Amino acid sequence: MGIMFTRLFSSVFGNKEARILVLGLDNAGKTTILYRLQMGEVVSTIPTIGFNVETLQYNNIKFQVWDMGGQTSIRPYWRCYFPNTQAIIYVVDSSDTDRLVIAKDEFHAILEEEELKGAVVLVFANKQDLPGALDDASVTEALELHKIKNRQWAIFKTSAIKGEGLFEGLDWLSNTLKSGGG
Amino acid sequence: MNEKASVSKELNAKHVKILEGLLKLPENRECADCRSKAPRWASVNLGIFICMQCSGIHRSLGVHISKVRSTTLDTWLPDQVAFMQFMGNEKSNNYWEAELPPNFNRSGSGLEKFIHSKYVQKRWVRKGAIQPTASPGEMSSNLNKTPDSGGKSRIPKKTRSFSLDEEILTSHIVHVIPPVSRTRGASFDMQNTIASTLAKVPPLADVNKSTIHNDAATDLYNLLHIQDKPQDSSTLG
Repeated sequence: MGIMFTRLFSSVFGNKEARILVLGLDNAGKTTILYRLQMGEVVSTIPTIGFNVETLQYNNIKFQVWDMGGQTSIRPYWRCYFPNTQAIIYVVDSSDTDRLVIAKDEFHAILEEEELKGAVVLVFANKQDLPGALDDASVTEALELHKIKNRQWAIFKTSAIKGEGLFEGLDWLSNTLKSGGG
Repeated sequence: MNEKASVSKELNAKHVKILEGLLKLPENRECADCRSKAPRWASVNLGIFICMQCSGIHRSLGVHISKVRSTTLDTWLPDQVAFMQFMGNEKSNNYWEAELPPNFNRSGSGLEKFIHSKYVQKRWVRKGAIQPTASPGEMSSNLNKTPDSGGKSRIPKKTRSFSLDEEILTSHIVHVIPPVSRTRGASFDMQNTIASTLAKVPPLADVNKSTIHNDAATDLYNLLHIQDKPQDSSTLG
């Protein structure tokens, strides 16, 4: 009852909270995106062994953003963080065309998880600043996004380095969450 | 070429042993770029072993310049392992640092700048030098250790004889170690991060070592997950 009331109170006064997981293969740009969103800066990163978590306030939503390490052997641990997640931000290195098949397989494996049934999905076709980066239409096709059923999703072309596309994605996310998605 | 999504546990275990062997070679005991000890990361297209710090810089260059993998946390493809055997830090630096003055201060104006100059601007490559590469054919023959493959190959004798030794070692080890031999605890990079958790892990000699290592890792994640719990109750429905 107390929790119910808190939620109602929060939704009326625009103080929502949302738990977001940032997932994707190693070196997709997850950590750079997290800190670009949170600090507005490009930080130098090293591979994430474990995770980073930050909160950021945007469009009256307090996002709790979990950036998970993407190396092969730590991907199985992503699922430990699935419960109570409202949205997945799936980050793809659009220039790493050799690994798009792996990115697709990991992506669809996540979508099959029961605990993420209600989560909305935001895909960032990242690293648009690099030569040979595929555009959003090609990444949509490579990830087979059209196969997604019963779930709200969107894809945005992003460059975390240039700061392009990220907040457009976050706008979509906050609107979707406010309208009841996730 | 698209990478296959899965490598069998047996093949993976074999790759781990080969990579561990390569990391013990004197040339690979230092990061190819900053010379720090015991690198545990690699650039699979440049064929070099690098430290975690430099791996971060390599990642920022983009995969058209450098493709970074962890020797302990990633699954490798046979061609990638074979290329590491073919190349290594010494041969690579003979090409990329041919014109680099001796005692050059690598971190003088920042390692980021050094690595960019080295691989993107090719500042210290000797004019007219050809970047050493191996065709896929040469690489697979090296990995499969076909004895008569040496004729057409440019693979140094040292590497080939090492591979043969490694084959014996590997085939032996497959019988001894359980399939899941990729222990997170084996990573040097992880030691700083989860040193306290690893302190609980029994010695390597323990029979159930892979299971125990996995549990230790899971414990850590569960622990972190629990910390997250109280906040969940107030999240958006």
